[in-house]
Amino acid sequence: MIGPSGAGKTTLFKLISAYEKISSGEVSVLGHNVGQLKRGQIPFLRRKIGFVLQSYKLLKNKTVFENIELPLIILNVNKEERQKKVSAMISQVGLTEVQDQFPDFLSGGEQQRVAIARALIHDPEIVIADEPTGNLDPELSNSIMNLFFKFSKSGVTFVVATHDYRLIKEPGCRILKVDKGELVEDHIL
Amino acid sequence: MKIAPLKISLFVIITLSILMIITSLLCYKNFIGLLSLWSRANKMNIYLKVDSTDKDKTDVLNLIQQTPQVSSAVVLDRQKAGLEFQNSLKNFSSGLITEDEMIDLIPETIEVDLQSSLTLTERETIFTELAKKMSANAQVDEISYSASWLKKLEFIDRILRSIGASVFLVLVTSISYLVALMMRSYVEDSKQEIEVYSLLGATRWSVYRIFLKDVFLFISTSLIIAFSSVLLIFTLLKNKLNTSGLFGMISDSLHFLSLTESISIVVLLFLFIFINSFFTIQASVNKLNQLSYD
Repeated sequence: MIGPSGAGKTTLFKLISAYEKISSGEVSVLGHNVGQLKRGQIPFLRRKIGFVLQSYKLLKNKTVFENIELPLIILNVNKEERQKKVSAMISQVGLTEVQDQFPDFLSGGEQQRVAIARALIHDPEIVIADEPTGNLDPELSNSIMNLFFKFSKSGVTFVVATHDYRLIKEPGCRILKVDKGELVEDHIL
Repeated sequence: MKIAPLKISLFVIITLSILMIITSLLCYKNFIGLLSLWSRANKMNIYLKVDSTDKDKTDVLNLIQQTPQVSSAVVLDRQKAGLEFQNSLKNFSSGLITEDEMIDLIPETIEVDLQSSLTLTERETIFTELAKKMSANAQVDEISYSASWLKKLEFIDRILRSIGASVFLVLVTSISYLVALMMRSYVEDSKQEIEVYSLLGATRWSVYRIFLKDVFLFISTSLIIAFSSVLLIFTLLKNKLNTSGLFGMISDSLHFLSLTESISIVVLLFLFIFINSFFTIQASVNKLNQLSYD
């Protein structure tokens, strides 16, 4: 999803994840009518989605391993399985060396990889990435996008919002261009 | 959760509050215990008329026994009482009065005592009722039971209860306020963590649980520390009093809270602080519900 700042990309993501109230129309996500969801049902919708945000949203007092483990704790996955899944995910995103470190000691690119690993650890059906490369230099941005392409091949749907459309190069990607709250373009690369 | 200074402050506040409440209750219990001890030594004396017969004595005794709270009603040995009285006056009245004359001066007396489990108020009420009933009896000449002292003690007890209840209410309100204040800051300082948990699909209950787990730990540790401290100070004080001759008798009458009292206090305080914390956490987390997504 591309478009200039203020086009409505983040608002759409907030609507999808029930952070924003729907004033008109209907938002349907994974079979849920988001507008009709009760307060207690919202967490269960969010569990089906993985989130990668520009600000990473990592817990500073937890290690890389513990941060990635969090969604599995919320889902009450047993410790043994958590260890197995987190270790596998850490090696997939290339964070084995820093798995016991705290986020403040990591580079921006590493922190974003932790966020990606955390978004994918519980096998969500879709991953929402809102300006995931906003704080990163072009080289790191490319590596993050490559990570998305790599995981999308395993069947996860990534919805990535960015204002830098040069990052989207992979054939088969669907490009949605929004501007001033309107969908102005929809094509496949 | 992080924020060590907040956690420490919360822990200190809870511990001190519990300590104050336990100490107040212990002081009240022992003060009333000492007053009751004194009042228990105070028995009722019923003096019969000079011409009363053995049958009259038995009738009066039967009448006294009708009051179920009476633990003992004993006819005093006049001879023994006379001798004791004569001995105490030996230096002043030697040879002035004979033993028989002395005994004749002492009226037939029935000493009445009540069950030790009665409170000061109950003791005073029962003695008053018994005195009223006995004065109506033709064979009873006079009744003595230090009614005014019992009334004064009952009054002191009532005042103490009122002060105790007020202090308890003030303490409990202060604790509620302080715990609420600390919990609110604690939750607000953990805003970022709540946001992350919410983003990852944690339910409200699982967010509350994170804080409640900490609160549970605080209260349990605070209760253990507060109880142990009070028990330690109490034991040391009692031992100190025991070794000093003047207060030795008092020290025997000092008791720590019984197991039932201790359990009741622990359960009550625990529930009170825990419920108070829960509602504060709930309100604070709900207030933070507009979690930032960005």
